[in-house]
Amino acid sequence: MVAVSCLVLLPFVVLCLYVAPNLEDYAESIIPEVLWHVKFLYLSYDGRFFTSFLFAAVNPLKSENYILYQCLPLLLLAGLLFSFYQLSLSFISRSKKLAVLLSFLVLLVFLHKTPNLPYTLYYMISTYVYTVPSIIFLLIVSSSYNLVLSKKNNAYKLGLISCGIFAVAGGNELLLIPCLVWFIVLGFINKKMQAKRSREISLFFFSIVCSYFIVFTSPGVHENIQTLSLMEEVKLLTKALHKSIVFTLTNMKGWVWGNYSLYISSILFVVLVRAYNTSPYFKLSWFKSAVLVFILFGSILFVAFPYTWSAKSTASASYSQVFIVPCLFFTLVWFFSLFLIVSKLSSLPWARKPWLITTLSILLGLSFFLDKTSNVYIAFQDLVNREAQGYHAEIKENISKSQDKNALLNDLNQLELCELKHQPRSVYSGVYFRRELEHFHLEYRLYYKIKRIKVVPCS
Amino acid sequence: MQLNNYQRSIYLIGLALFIFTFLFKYYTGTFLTISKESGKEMISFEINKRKNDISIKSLKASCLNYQDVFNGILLDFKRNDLPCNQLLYNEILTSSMDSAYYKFIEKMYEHANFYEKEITDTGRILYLYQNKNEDCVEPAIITFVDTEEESLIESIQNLPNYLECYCVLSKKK
Repeated sequence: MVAVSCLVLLPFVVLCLYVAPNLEDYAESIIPEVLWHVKFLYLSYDGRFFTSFLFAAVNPLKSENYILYQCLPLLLLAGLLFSFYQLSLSFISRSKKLAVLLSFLVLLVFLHKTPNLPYTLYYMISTYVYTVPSIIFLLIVSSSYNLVLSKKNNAYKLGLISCGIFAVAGGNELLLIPCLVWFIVLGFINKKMQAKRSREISLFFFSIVCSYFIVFTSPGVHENIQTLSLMEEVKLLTKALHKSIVFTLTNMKGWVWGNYSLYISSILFVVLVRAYNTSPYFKLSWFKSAVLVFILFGSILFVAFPYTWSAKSTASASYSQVFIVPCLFFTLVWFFSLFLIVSKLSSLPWARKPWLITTLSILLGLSFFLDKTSNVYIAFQDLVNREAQGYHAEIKENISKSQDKNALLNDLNQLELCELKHQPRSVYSGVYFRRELEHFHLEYRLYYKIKRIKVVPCS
Repeated sequence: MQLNNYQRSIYLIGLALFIFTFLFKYYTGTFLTISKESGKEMISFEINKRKNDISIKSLKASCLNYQDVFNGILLDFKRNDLPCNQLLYNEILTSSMDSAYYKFIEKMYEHANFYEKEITDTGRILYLYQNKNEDCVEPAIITFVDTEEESLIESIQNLPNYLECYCVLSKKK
């Protein structure tokens, strides 16, 4: 199964060679001082102070290091894999082997249907907003769960989790609902298991209050909020909630309906869990399991709420990057629910056949490559059709022209840069030289110290 | 009640997080509203960013005390002893920081205490205010539109007669 997973992941890894910075990456790379960068974004855009810190401090473009920029997707893949591994160890089985297999499985299913692949892995600015905070959140979930159940006191871990909460809150407001839901559930677990960790839970909630206080009192956020009457506010809130539910359900339909890879991976998951004879650490009745599954799936419907509320009438289901986070949680909740169901079933003798795992793994691998809507298929096609290679070559040419102090200028003293002809769906974010994105030209010119540019179609 | 080391560290972590929150708000100058210093810092950052930019799409300034703005510009030009408007307009074509265009923008920023920005399909627009929503009976607005330099020149040529006054003064001298 690991071999099949590696084969499926191969196109994603090879695509790292063809990743190149887009315009918004440059916009976040022209301020040299870290603290001022964080302050500037906090004052003028939004309260995502941790994301701003990443833009400022973990930005290879600030040192024009394009190779490190290309390594970021690999780090994200490793981060996602590690967070799934930790979750598997915490919630499903102490078997490291099973945890490795399950984390590969979850990673493949997530990447297969993530609504916007470039924004999930390859577009630095966006990955700092969506993927990195999500990874940190998942690590917080597993470590806080372990901390509450552990008999040992660990102040160091407690401090890290509290700082992690700050990172999640300052990373993306879409994680507010999952964060609240998780710590409420953790409080419930603490009470149910008489773990006597109330002080720690209180500290986590205190961290949530402090961090979201910073986020929601950002002047950048307030600039976008109009003062409305109470009735209008209620109306707006209801509309935003409705939109969040409808948009997520629309996306969910696409993640489940006709998604054969999900069906095969579900069977494979059941087989793996059964093969390793795993049973949950906690015993829940059918009713309690159903309630938990209902709460988890229900909470996913509200993850997009901060977006639908702030975007008001412009909120749209086609703003796909917002649904990366709900897609990630959907995948995790889907498998966790399966685990709860499987653990209730007395025995599945057919699931213990050794050849079954191999057959299902191969079938799963094939299903990714045969589904034309799958990101695996799209990534593979972009490599085979040389779209990704062409895209990289075009951007590289623009970069070398921009870096060249003796580059030839046209009659109007402008440096001619080209509009992309190759636009691979798996890598290209859409934020490059286009007519409607001229407001990013200033930052690009400042980055490369160019006076004037003119964008022409690539030859 | 005696606290053990672990319990003490829980309180210490809580205290550290509280201090971080306090320091962050203090550093950004955003306790209740955005502080005047932070506003000024933002403005000077915006002007620095545009120091070498000759393709500002649009700059709107309202509620600025234009008398102060123009007096500032005139003072600067008096020091440099420019002979007349014509030269002033010619300078606009240059991308130098000393051009009249930059002097004008710089002065507008200097007199502004607040700014807002709007991102439209055609580009970024900056709004500068001296007194936001206060003492602003008839807001004066100057807009530079289009990237064409002619449009910028035209906008500046349309300024009230302050520059002419300067030329007159200059000739008298």
